[in-house]
Amino acid sequence: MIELYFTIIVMIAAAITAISLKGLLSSIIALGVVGQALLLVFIFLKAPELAIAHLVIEIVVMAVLIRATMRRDTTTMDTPTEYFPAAAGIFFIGAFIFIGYLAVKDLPAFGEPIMRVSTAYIRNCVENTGALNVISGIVLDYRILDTMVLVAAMFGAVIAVYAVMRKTGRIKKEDKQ
Amino acid sequence: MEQDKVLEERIKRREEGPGNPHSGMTVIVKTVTRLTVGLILLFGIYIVLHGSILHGGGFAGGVIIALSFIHIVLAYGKTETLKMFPMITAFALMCLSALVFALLGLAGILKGGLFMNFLPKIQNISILSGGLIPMYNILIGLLIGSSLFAIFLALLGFKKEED
Repeated sequence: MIELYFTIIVMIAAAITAISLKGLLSSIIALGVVGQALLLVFIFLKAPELAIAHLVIEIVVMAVLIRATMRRDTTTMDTPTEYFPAAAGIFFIGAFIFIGYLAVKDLPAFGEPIMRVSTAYIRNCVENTGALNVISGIVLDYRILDTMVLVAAMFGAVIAVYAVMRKTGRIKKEDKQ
Repeated sequence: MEQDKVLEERIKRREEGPGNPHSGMTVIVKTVTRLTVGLILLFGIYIVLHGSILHGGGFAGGVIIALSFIHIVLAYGKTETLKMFPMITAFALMCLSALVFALLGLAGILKGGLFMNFLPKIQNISILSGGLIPMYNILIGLLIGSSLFAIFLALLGFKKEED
């Protein structure tokens, strides 16, 4: 488990670096490091299907971000540091970690679940659905209503992006002066 | 002088007007794109089709199909790509696959329940032995591919208004 903790520390360090760098392109590269560390975490926790999906989506996200940064006029963020919002953020992160620890303290250990429904799914999946890939069998046969909601959300996301983005942005009249 | 010429060519390449033959990236990138984009699309189709046997499935395979189109947009520029693959095709594919997904689910009502997997399951494990699962994988792959391509095109074409 030591490699898992090491990867999580690398992820947190890269995220803090991404916030505090001045150049936009450097921050995006630090975000890429966060994504790759998450990929390693998925592999260490023995979930290769999630790792494949995360890898390809990370490639698309990095392409979009880098391409969107190449065309902007501002390439650095020069806002001065403000101390009160940073302190409030750290306080709320600490409170969240404490309450989260209280919530997950009594769960069973990793790798020994006590769930009866998923044990029944894993036992009967191959002969009931005919799919060798148990994850595909669950996502597309036993729990296909969740997939239907995901399809509807993807469709709605495309319509929302096209409803919000115009070809040329407009600045409000009072902001112009 | 050399640096001025290189800078001028880069500025000419950046303006993506409809009649600009220099738009996009250099010749090397365009040639390599022509060689590899078919292989990327084929790999995406392979992962979508074998979703019930191998890792992957409709979601990861759909993203790879979208990545092959994004590859063309990054190498050739937006106007050249829209000549080859107009936006109406992406929207039509997305809407058609969502519609067929809903109709297949409603057709399951006649044979059992909503979204019932009613095709027979073959004994020898092959691609076709999952019943309706390969059909759902293909539909989801088409949907995610065209959705991500449409979102990428929308996020690229956003410019500030010039006064």
